[in-house]
Amino acid sequence: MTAPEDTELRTWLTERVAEYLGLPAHEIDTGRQLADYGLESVYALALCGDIEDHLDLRVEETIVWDHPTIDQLGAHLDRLRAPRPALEAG
Amino acid sequence: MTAIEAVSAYLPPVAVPIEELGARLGVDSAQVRVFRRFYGLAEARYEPDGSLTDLLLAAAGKLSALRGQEGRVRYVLQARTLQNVAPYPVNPLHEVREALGLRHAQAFAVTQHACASGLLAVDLAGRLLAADGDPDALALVLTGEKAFTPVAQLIQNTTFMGEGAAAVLVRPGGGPDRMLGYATRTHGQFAAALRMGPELAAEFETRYLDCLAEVVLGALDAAGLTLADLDLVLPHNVNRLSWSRLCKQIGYPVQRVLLDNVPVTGHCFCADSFINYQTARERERLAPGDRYLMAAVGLGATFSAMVFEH
Repeated sequence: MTAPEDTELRTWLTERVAEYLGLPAHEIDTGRQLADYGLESVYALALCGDIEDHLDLRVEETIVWDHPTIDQLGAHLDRLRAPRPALEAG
Repeated sequence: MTAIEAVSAYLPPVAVPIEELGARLGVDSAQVRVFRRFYGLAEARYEPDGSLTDLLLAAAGKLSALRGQEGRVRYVLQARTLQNVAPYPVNPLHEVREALGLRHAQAFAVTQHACASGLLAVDLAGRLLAADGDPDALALVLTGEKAFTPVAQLIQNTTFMGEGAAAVLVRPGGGPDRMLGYATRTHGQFAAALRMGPELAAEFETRYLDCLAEVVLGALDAAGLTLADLDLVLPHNVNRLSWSRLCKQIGYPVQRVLLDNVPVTGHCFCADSFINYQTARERERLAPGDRYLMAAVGLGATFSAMVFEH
């Protein structure tokens, strides 16, 4: 399986996670579960708060558990941000 | 069989915003922000000038079902999380027993399940009354504590503690608010509680939902019920997130978990479910025949759930 395309959002997520973990960003595996890194839940939620500020949207409080890797989280946020198709005029 | 005869709850008057609590206790602003946005915490209630005796008397004093029935009370149980709450020879439990005119009753504290000791005390009270064989006897369970040190005011990464209190009158036998099932499990590997190292703390966090689900489903099973039969959950008030995640895991609608008090009270040690019971009654969330579940988690660690029929 090829690696997901690296996006600005994934880069930003990786940098935020790296900061909370105290690790260099290049050591973060975006396909690895954040819980496996020992990211405490309160900081996983702090990440959610950062996401809300960064993307100006509200996320579900369970988002980090529902989408436990950076890749999955990024993909979910991409879907949340995707423009909705315009309704056809009646 | 054990049944709840009456419950009265007392919320102290001073509401302190969690930002102020966080500043006092050295909690970083990122955590406090999480507590408000995702945990659903907003304030906690305190009685700065009141003692533990005052708190418990404030709750028991509202228990109208106790007035005139003092002679029927055989036991007074204080369910508490904190092992030591007063310097010897001060004894708040004995002070409360005396003030309530219950000197004839045996009084003792129940602490072994930490914040789950309230449910343990209800079960113990019912068993003692059943063993005595007097269908008219009662027991009084007192819950609520002073968050009198920083250690007693904060559970790191989890919640702030509050000083709400509740008094529970327990009777033997059936009838309204009879207990249908009780499940409790202590996981001794977490006995260090607040002093757990990072690895154990991470394991506790990882296992928390499974352990809570086990006793919720276990209590229902003991009652001969399933989740579909459960009308209302009266939870601990630790935070909203633990309940939304649990409900997602077990497939129970979070709308049926009474979380109204999470932003109001803080986590009030052993008193949460009983405070929520009073709120449920006041807001007409319980109808005769409804099945409801009280749940509590005590550090050390004990997970408990108790099912009743209203």
